[in-house]
Amino acid sequence: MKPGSSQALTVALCLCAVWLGSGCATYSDQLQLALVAANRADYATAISELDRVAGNPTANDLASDRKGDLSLTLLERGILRQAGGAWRESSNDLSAADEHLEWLDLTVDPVGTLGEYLYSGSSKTYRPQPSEKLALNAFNLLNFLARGDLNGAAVEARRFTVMRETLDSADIKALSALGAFLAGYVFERQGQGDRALRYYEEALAAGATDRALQSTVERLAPVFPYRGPNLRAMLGSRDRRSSGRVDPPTEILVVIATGRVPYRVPARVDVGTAIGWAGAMWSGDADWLARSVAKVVVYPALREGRPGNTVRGLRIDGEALEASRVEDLSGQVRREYEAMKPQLIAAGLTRLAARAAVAEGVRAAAKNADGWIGALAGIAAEGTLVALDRPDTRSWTMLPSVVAAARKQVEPGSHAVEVRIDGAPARRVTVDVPAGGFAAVVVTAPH
Amino acid sequence: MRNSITLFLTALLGLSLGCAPQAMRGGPGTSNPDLDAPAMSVKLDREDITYLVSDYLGRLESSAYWQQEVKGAPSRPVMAIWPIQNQTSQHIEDQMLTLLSSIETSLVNTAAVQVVDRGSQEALAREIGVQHGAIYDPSKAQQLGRQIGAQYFVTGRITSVDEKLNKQHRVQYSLFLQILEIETGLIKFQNEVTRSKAVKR
Repeated sequence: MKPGSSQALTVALCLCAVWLGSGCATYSDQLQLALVAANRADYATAISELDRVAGNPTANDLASDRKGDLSLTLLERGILRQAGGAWRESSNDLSAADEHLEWLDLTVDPVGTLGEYLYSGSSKTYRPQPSEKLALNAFNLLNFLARGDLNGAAVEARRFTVMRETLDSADIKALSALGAFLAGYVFERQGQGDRALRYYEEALAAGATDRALQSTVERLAPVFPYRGPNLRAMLGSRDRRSSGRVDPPTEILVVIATGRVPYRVPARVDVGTAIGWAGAMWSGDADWLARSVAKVVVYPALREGRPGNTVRGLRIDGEALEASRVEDLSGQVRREYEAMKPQLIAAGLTRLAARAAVAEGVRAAAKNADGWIGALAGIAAEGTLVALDRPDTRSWTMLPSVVAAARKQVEPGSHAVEVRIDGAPARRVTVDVPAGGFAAVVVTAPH
Repeated sequence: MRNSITLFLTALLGLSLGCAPQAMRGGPGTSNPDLDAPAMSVKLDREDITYLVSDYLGRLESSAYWQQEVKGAPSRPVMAIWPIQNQTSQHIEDQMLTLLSSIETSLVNTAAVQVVDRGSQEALAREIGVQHGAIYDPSKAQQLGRQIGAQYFVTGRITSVDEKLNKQHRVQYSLFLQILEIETGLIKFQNEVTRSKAVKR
């Protein structure tokens, strides 16, 4: 064998060895068994599957989590633990992930970012989407409310506000109807009616239904002066002022989160289609793409999660109640994905060009060798790089799709709450509501 | 060739040792006296709490209220500590406990006042429906004050302004404490001390 062919084959074999040693499962592949268990509403098994894949991570393990993968696992487990009613454990997971992801947000990842454009979309640090960042504090707030810890819930409400303002200052227009609704609820219960109205205005602007807030706003509006366009429209001619005070009522809050948001899966598309999708984001030299043998672009596609809106009945002390939609997280995830799709495709095209360049180099190294060896080495090198290219399918997959809520004023004392959701046994809880106090019933059902 | 391999293995061993975590002792009297000095996060640590409490106590002891009413009293006044509100954006429940203990210790060590043990006070507070972290309620404070024999309550809140911009995260903490005369509800002394924490790239 001539020297050139030997070098080329060595490069090709090295790439194959890297491929074999790297493991090829994407994030969505690794999550598959947990998703199957979650689909059956078997959250305990789903947690076991997550722990099996990720090694049962704790907050202490996050110090070595440079890519954010463990933090994402904690987000997934936080929702599953909430689904199982383990409020404190869920809160530990979500709080730890929140702090670590914030830390990672402050770091730069030049190697990972470069890697995203050279060999694999999964090489960079995981950075949550704006909807995920805002949902994190909202779902953690629910853990505190479920435990009756209004002060802890208020801390999460403030963290939610800081995150929303941070996104706003970076010109990222992200809103969370659920976060605003819950923050409003917390500050309303703490006697800050005007502040609560501002959050309710925000919740309405972000898509919360009027029905979810109508009676609350009508109760607060006569005493507290804040009015935004949505509150004005809701109150209309009934907007009257009066003096006096509005004490927080003795009540039960029920929050029901169902379904799962769309998630990312690896997909391949031909170069022509990809260039069309990338649009203005792709300005590279198409000649390099033409030299590639495997003319496919690897990218993360969005697959529908599980349907929300599966609440079939809510009763408090036997009386039927309607839970009104507060948040459609699936819609947000879809919008965010569509907005960033050109960028994802452009990164895939750049990786395709990089693969073609490597294959060209291997072929050039073997140009003095027998023709078939050079061609074979080039194809092997490119094929290996295609296999190595793992699209970044990391996203908060267990995040519920739709959130609905209901509030009901009750007499102090013990009350029975029953929630029926498709695909799971009815949830029945008895809550004790102190005079002037509240009880929050949180039903998270990501199946 | 053999030398090269030995050198390589030695370097590898050195690297592996360098990566292993190492436990250490820190603080005064140890080989790492400055271990507590660096900030590890934007949360309050013991250094911050010590600073906030000592600054507040310094101002309190030099106030007219302390010099005249406390030191001039025929017997040492009895003080109790009402839960201090966490109104920050950080979950600092553990730090709040350290803060309360630190305030209690500092007051006791002035030898000018008597301080009600928080353990026994909390049990009584729960009996009359005061929850941990509850906002100061004058009517319940009077009831509790009579039961524990206190003349003054130390109460307050810790607040924060939390901002993130351009890879920086800064939290400005303010500890606002006041001393209230239980019987009259009058504010006898109040002050605010501040501390900022930041993480930046």
